[in-house]
Amino acid sequence: MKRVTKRLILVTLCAILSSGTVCAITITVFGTWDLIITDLDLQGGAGDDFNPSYESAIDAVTVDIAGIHPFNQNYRVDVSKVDSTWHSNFHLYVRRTSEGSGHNKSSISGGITYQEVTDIDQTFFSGLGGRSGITIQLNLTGVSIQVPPDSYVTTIYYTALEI
Amino acid sequence: MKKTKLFLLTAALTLFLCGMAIAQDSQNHNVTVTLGEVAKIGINGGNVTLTFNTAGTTPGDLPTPVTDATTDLRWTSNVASGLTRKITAALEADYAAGIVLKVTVGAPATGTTTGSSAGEITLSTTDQDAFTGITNENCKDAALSYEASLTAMVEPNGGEIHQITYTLTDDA
Repeated sequence: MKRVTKRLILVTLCAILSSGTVCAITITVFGTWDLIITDLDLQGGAGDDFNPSYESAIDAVTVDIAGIHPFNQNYRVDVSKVDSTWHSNFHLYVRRTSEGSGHNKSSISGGITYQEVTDIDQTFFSGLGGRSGITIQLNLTGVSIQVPPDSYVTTIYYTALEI
Repeated sequence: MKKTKLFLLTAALTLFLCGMAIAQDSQNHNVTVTLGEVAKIGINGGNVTLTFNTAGTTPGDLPTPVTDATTDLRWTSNVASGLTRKITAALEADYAAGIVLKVTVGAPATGTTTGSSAGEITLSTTDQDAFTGITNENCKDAALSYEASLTAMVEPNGGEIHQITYTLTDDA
C-alpha cells in the first residue's frame, strides 16, 4: 500500500475518532402505556363522572441515548405524537423521572415537569453524552363520561438530535 | 504541497460527512386508552311509605291519592356513538287489586341529560320506560314522584310492601 494511501486512511480514522468515535446518534425506547378505564374509575358511584386524569407508572417508558461520544456530544430529544384514534378531549403529557446512567462526565437536563405532547415536535430534554435507562412517566387528562366508550390510540415519537 | 492539501481535504470532508450523517434518530411507542362502557344507576333516599288518609275521606268517596317526592335517581352512562339508553321501572309483584302506584322520573337537577322523562307511568311487574334517550352523561337529583291511589276500596292491609327496580339499559 502506498504511503499516501496509508496516510489518507489514517487521517480519515483520526477525523472520525476526533468527531466522537461514531457519528450516528441512536435513541431506543422501551415500554408503552395501556390504560383501561372502567366504572371502578368513577369519582364516586352512579351519578358521578370519571376521574379526569390518570398517571402511568413512574418508569412506564425507558429511553436510551447511544451512538455518540460518552461525554463530548450534546444532544436534544424532541417529543410529538401522531394520533390514530384519539379523542379531542384527551391531553397527554410526559415528564422525565430519572437521569438514567452514563459516563460520569455526561449530563442530562430538562423535561422534569409535565409538558403536553402535541402533533408538533417540541424539546423534551437535552444532555451531554450517551445515557441509558432514562425513565419517562405519562399523564392523561380530559377523561370524562362524555367521551364515548372505545379504544383510543396515539403514538408518541421521541427524536434524538445531535446539537 | 499537493499531498498536504489532499490530507486536509480528506479530513475536512470526513468531518463534514460525520456532521451531515445521521444526526438524528427517532423511536416511538403507543399509548392506548380503553374506555369501557358504564351503566350505573342509584337511588338516593330510603324506602317510601304512602299511607291513605281514610280519616279525612268524605263519605261516599275513595281516599284521596297520596304522593311522595323524597327520593331521586342518579345515573352515569356512556354508550357508543349512535346508541342510547333508557331507565325502566317495574314492581317485583303487583299490589292488591284496587291499589295503583304511579311514578314520574323527573329531569335531573344536577348534570345535563340528553334524555327525557316518559312522564307518569303506572307501575306493574312489566318493565316500563320511565326515562329515555340517555347517552353519555352523569346526572343526579332526578326526582321520583310517586302517587298511590285507589280505584276501589281495599281491606286494611297494615302496609303492603313491594320493591321497585329501576334499570339503566340499552335501548332496543
